[in-house]
Amino acid sequence: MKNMLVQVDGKLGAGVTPKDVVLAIIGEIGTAGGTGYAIEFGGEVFRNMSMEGRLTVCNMAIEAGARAGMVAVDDITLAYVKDKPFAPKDALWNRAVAEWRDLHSDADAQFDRVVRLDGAQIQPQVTWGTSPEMVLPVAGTVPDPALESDPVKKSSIARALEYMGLNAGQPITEIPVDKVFIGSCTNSRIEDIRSAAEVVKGRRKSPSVALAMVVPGSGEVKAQAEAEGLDAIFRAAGFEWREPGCSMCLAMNADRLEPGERCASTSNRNFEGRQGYGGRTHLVSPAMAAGAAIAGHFVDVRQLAERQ
Amino acid sequence: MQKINWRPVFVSGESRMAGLTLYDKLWRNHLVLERDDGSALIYIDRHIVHEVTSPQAFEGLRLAGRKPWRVDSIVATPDHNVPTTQQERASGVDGIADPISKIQVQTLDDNCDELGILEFKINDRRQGIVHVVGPETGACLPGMTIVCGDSHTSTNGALGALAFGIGTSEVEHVMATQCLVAKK
Repeated sequence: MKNMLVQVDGKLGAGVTPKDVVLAIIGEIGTAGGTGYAIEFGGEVFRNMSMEGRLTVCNMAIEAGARAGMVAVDDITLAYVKDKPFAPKDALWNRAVAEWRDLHSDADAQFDRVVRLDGAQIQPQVTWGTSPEMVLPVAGTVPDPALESDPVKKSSIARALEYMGLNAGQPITEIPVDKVFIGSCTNSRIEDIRSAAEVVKGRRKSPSVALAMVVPGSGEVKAQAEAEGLDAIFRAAGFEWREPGCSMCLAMNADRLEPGERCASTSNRNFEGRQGYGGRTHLVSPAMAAGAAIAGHFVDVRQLAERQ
Repeated sequence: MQKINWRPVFVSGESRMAGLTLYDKLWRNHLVLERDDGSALIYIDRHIVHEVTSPQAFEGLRLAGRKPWRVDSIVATPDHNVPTTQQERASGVDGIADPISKIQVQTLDDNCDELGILEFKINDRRQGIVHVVGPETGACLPGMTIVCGDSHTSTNGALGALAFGIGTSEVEHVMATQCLVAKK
């Protein structure tokens, strides 16, 4: 694998999450953009990002085509790892930290490719198509294949719109959702659950949404969320609070979409049939998924917050 | 962490090569052998296992009369096939309604029990999605090479680790040898 640096500097706006960052990166470089590379995520945005957020970003490195994604070790990494059940302790911890401090790219390291994004420009993202690179800011409108000159892109847009049951020029915020899935290895950690709960608190799921489910990523996450009373917030809002597992990310258990059903999902793949045969997946952040459950359609969570 | 045969950072005692990237360092720290054609063996520190991509690997080991090279490098948990409703989860594996899902989860339990592999079983508090469980238990740590028969293994790279998904035949190879055939 060759070396790629994805450098995102600047400050993220309020309501813009790690999921939005990685979706924006994939929108920029495409699902083949990282093919043959190991991607290092660097810059101010990742330096300031929590470990949960970094895990979300690296989770989707593969959706950018890269087999591996990584972030340099810093104080945030060490604070996260310290006191984990299998982390080294005492003298071994000190030895490990001394080794781990070197786990960053040298200042004069050469990357084969460098991609730079301005973090301040990143908006909450929603995928509209059947590939993670088919993504737009929430204020966007569904693309029109007639306006695309490249014949390959034109036909892939047309096919995606047909599968997704969308019209060219349709505003993202006018797309209604049938189901909402908050979970998966991308977005089922405690910060994800907290971020969704913050949007849901004191509100109700839209009656037009048949099912909104929250599936914590592990028993530990579930217990932590329950200790914080987050499960009660979801239940009071008409959401289902489930047991940990991959669940509706990939329809290998009973949690799946029916043909034609549309889902706001915090998972990582929106391929045809991924969440169930004929199912339609829109990838979003936990906050955006929660907002869609409340509104019944996609909504800019930043505006939802203002209305509170 | 294993440090074997890394490439020299200083060349002929004078001119220093360009600095290394994080990926270069992680690769260097785990390189066991590199051939002229660029194919290499890298040492694997942590092997995360779930129920979908492991049954044939375990069977392959069994047929070849092998045991895992380093049992304590492996951590397993079922995630893809576990039901998520409280009702279906209440009676553990026995309660899984879908027969294929039940077989997969039971098979993982059986294989881990037989070989003494640490597994967070269906209703263990530590059970969960492999890429959530690895970091939160500290099974996955900075500087490690981490593999799992699942494409989203890249998640663990957030720790400053080299982590990627592998296929089922590679799952068997890593279990048997603690190494992976790779190309930088």
